[in-house]
Amino acid sequence: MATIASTGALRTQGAYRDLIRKDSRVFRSAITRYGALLLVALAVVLPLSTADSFLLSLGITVGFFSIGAIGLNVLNGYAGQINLGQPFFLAVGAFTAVGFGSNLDLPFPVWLLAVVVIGALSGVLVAPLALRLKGVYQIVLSLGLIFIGHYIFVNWSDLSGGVSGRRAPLDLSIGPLDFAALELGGMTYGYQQGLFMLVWLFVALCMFLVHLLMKSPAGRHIVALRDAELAARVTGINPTRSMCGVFAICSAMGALSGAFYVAQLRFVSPEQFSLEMGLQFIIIVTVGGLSTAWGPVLGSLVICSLPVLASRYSEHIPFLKANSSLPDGTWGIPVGQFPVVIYGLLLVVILMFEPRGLTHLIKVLSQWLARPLLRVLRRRSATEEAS
Amino acid sequence: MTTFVQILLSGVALGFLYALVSLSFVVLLKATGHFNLLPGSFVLLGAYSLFQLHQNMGVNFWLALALAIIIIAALGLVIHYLIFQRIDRAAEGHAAGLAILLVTIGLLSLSQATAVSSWGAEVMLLGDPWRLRTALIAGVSISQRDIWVIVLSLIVLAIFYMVMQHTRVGIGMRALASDPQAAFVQGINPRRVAPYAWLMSAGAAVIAGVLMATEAGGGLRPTLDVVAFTALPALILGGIRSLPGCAVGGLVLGILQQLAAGYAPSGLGQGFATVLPWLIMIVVLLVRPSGLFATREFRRA
Repeated sequence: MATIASTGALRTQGAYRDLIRKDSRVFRSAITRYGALLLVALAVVLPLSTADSFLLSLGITVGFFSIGAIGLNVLNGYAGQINLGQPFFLAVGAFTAVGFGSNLDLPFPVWLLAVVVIGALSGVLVAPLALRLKGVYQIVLSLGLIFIGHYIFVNWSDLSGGVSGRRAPLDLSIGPLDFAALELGGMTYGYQQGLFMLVWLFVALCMFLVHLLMKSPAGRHIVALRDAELAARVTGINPTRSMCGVFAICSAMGALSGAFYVAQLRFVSPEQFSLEMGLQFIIIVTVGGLSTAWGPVLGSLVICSLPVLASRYSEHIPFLKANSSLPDGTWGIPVGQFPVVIYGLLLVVILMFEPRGLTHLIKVLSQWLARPLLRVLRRRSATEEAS
Repeated sequence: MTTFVQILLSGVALGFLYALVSLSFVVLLKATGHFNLLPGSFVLLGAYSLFQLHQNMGVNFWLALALAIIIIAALGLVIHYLIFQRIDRAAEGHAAGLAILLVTIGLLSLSQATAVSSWGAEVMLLGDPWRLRTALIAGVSISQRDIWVIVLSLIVLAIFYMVMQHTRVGIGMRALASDPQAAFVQGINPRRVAPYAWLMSAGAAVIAGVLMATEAGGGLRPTLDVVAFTALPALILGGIRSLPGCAVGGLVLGILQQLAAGYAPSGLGQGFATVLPWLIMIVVLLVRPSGLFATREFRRA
């Protein structure tokens, strides 16, 4: 046996297995493991430490956009398909939440489960149609989804309140823990603080699930199908099954995102789930960095903060003028349009110069900043060795 | 009967608009090899350029229209050389296609912001020569704008047909679209052909944009580019690479949409007419994904 084990072929196989094992590890090192735990703890502590409603509502917005973008990133990034129709899945989730949570007045865990299940089902329903198509056809189909979704929900007015929308209060309590009015250590916290916590815990959960998925055989199948479909099929991967799964993940997370959107506004209207939102989602995943774990969150942070910050600090930004619908002779970018300009510029610049997105830029930047530090450390250890 | 004829005529007019916009998409697809959403920007910026030239600077309407087309075509060429070719060189195949699509989404945002920043978000009148007058022909009242839509579209379609079938440039364009390498060998220079393709695409899109901006109840507004996307089902129906297909697909959808708007029972809900083209498109995709006018190469799109 010993002689066989020492032959070259088996040894390389062993090395290869090591490589796979190393690559399949959930956390690459202790730093990332405790870093992740720290961030989850931060999601709980951060909302408790501030009551600033501006920061809290911005945080919630970034959070639910992240959830939708994490799902879309699986489809657009890892699986290499195109979907402009994410608002359709958000609408499905939002109206499921309204139906189960507001109309039927069911408890939080029940309506949340319904949102995820119905969201995933809607994705599986769309998948066979989308997968028969490539490129242009897929884009146009996903645009069509938005328009058809709008038509369905506007006419289903018991649920959506028609064109003008409706109020939709949702229950947010799990057992004794009511996130709408959190009581911890004798203190009562507000609705926004509880929702912030909830949304970001789900962001962490979604990120972790996608991270696990991409380390699993199913995730490798998805990437293999993107990079070399023929080769992947030859090795026995079933493209339909893999891609249906991808659509289900994308739509379930989209639906979850939509449900939290309703929870934040406590209001819902079919007009919210428009083509602009679809473009916004595409911009988020692309600017953040396609096929990266942090891309969707980073993208949402940048894309969702811009409009809010621009309107808050408009007097400090040049070429900006107050919103007015009439041309008043002076040329300036209205405050409402400033983020649109930035989205457009970001998208064009990122795609032309750094298609790997902001995640990669930050990585390069932090490495560049850390370089002098590393140099000092290396020099110190060298002098210690010399002495 | 007269209402039916009126509805039919407005359907034909809408259909020609769809046809013009989808022609703009198809020509760009043929010229650059990648699907992109730039015609949306062209529709928007074209209509606003005409407004700027005609209303603000007092240029004659038809001259302003021609100038607007040239401005938009030049803009397109700049985008072609500065952005598209760069991405084409940097990325390969599928990745380049996706990158170019995404860049045009960015450019769409930019053009929308430009329109709002420069001309405001208010709905405005274009100052077109036909205005809201109606003509009475054999007891049927037809808005003059619809007549202009039909006449102008027919002229554009005729020009496109002549160029594609009977000129060196058109034949070169078709050769490049069907087999780029064979076209190279035959001495067709894509650099020579590109400006004409952009001019054609810009022409169709700007005329469509101007006509859309003169619609009764509508007007010149910064969401015209989204209106342009409603022509996409016509593109699919016609089979993405065929010019006559676009015309027929547009007409079929336009007429059906107006008939639905006129005759559909109210039980079908509000907005049924608007969503009908998309529903028809999905049925077509299910039954005959190559479109009604399939060309053999559709799978490469």
